[in-house]
Amino acid sequence: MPRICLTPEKVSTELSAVAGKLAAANVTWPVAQNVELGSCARQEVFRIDKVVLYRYRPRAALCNPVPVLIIYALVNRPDMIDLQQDRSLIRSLLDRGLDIYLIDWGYPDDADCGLTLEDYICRYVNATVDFICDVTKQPRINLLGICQGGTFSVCYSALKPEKIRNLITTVTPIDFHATKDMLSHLFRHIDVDLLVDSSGNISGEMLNIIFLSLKPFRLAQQKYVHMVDRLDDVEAIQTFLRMEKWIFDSPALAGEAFREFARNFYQNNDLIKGKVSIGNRRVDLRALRMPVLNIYASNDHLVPPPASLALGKYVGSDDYEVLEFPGGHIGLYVSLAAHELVPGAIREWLSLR
Amino acid sequence: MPDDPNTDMDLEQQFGQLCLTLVRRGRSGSSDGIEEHSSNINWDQLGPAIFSQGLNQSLGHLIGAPLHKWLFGSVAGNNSSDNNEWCLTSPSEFKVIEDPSSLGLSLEESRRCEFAEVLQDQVNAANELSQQLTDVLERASARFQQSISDDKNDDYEITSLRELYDFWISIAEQTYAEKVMTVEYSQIFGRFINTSARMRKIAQELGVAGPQFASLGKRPEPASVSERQVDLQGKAHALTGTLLGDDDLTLLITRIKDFARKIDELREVVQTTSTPPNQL
Repeated sequence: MPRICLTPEKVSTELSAVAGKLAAANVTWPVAQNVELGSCARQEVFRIDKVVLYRYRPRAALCNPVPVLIIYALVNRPDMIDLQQDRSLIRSLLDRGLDIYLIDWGYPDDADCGLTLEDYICRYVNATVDFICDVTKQPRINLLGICQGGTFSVCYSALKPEKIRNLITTVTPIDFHATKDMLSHLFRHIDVDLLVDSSGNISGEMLNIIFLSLKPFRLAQQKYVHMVDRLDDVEAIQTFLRMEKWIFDSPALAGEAFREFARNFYQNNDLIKGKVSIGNRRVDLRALRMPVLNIYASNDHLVPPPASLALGKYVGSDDYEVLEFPGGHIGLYVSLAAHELVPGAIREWLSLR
Repeated sequence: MPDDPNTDMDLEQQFGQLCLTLVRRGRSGSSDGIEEHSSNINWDQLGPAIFSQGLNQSLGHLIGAPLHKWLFGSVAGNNSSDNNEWCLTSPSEFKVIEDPSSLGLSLEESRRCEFAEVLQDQVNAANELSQQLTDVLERASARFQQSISDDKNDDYEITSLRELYDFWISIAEQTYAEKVMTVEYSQIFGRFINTSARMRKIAQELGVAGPQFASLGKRPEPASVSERQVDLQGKAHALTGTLLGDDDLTLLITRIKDFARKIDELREVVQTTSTPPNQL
């Protein structure tokens, strides 16, 4: 228990410092406020419906001819993994000589409310994988999944193992009923069918509210109070604003895909039970016989470590490794500490396979 | 056609004959042919006057008889045969018309009642959720006060307002997490989401007439279009897979591509040879 040691002098000094920061904002804020996301050059190479496949321009000599396809979640935008120059997973991987592709799911509208997981996984992902194999003349590719995108990667790799050379999952939920999974707990008593039937697509605003409600005191209050400390630093403000821009740039979720994912994965936890079917094919995690690297964040409140680590119990591969990152769900991609650890580990792991 | 007085008289006579026949037929219930009557009629005395008289009588019956029945009931003198053919609706019969449910007019009203009920449910669920959050704040405040007043174990010192604020946030967040992970909170949260969704659904259904009237379409329309689109895309995808599995077709496609490549090469050669030397 702490002991309060506040004196009038300390309080006065602190308040003066805060006033100074606020005054500095008059100068720094107008300079910092217009921010853009993304630091790496890329090119659109393939498109199907609203889904776009980007290829990033290499920044170093290719050390590994097998391309890496990054599959992001349907929630939020993939800009976070290329936030800015010194906080970009993509840039770090490119600097290490990897050939990077990224699927951008776009912004679903009412016309997309009928899209199912079969559309996303069996049509869109499959089409992009085939395209990459065709242009790179590689029979198989490396797959890197992020959060829900990792779950998609796992499903795809189980359905089409012949197309995947290596599988990397990052902060990926596998066991949706793991302990301390607050999101799964909140979903337990929601009538998903009623929600989708009344809303069609699930709006990005609703998703934002749900995610903020997991840690409302920190995410809706403390974050902004701490920001005052950085008001005299233009670069710090820009980093903050880029994150804010990403957080609140939330696409809607296609209704049917949400219905399937929420009901079958979150509520029924069918993935580890072997009951998930994508299209007419059952997803069997034992079909994951390719090498698997599972990266998780030890302080992840969105995907608690047990939810990710469960993958090890179900894969059929003999080459399964785990990498722990001592941070949070988003920190694994945007923190400076993560960039010291994660990209190098991925590159090293792939080079041996 | 030039105006001919004789022609006009003929037309008037024919018109009068027709009207008289219709009136007689209506009274007698006879279906005798018009021609039989027309030969016995002096049309100079009939015509528009007779028609007007007959029409006036008919209108009088139509307007007068039902009102007599409804307002005065069975009154002496009101049961004349002139009223019989117009007494189609009695008060008891009119009662049926008065009840809108027989015509389906109360459907929207019942849905409005349902909406009001669901709205109340949603308000109750919101209040429950709000109560849960109030409980969190009360508990967190109590813990915070307990922590800073309990000087038995001084782990560390708080020397700034920021540290005090951060300490409060950590306690509040911990208390909130403990509350959220209870079954009760999960049920209340689910109830809030479900009642909100139900309310929205009924509101959309009640609001169908508006968008429809304005030709804006209803929510099921884009959903059905999307379903149809997805279905067609799936079929196209399956068909593509079938076609690509056809070895002969694959070979044909490869040959076509080779042929196209050769045509491009030949075109380049032709362009090169046809270009004047000083332009190469």
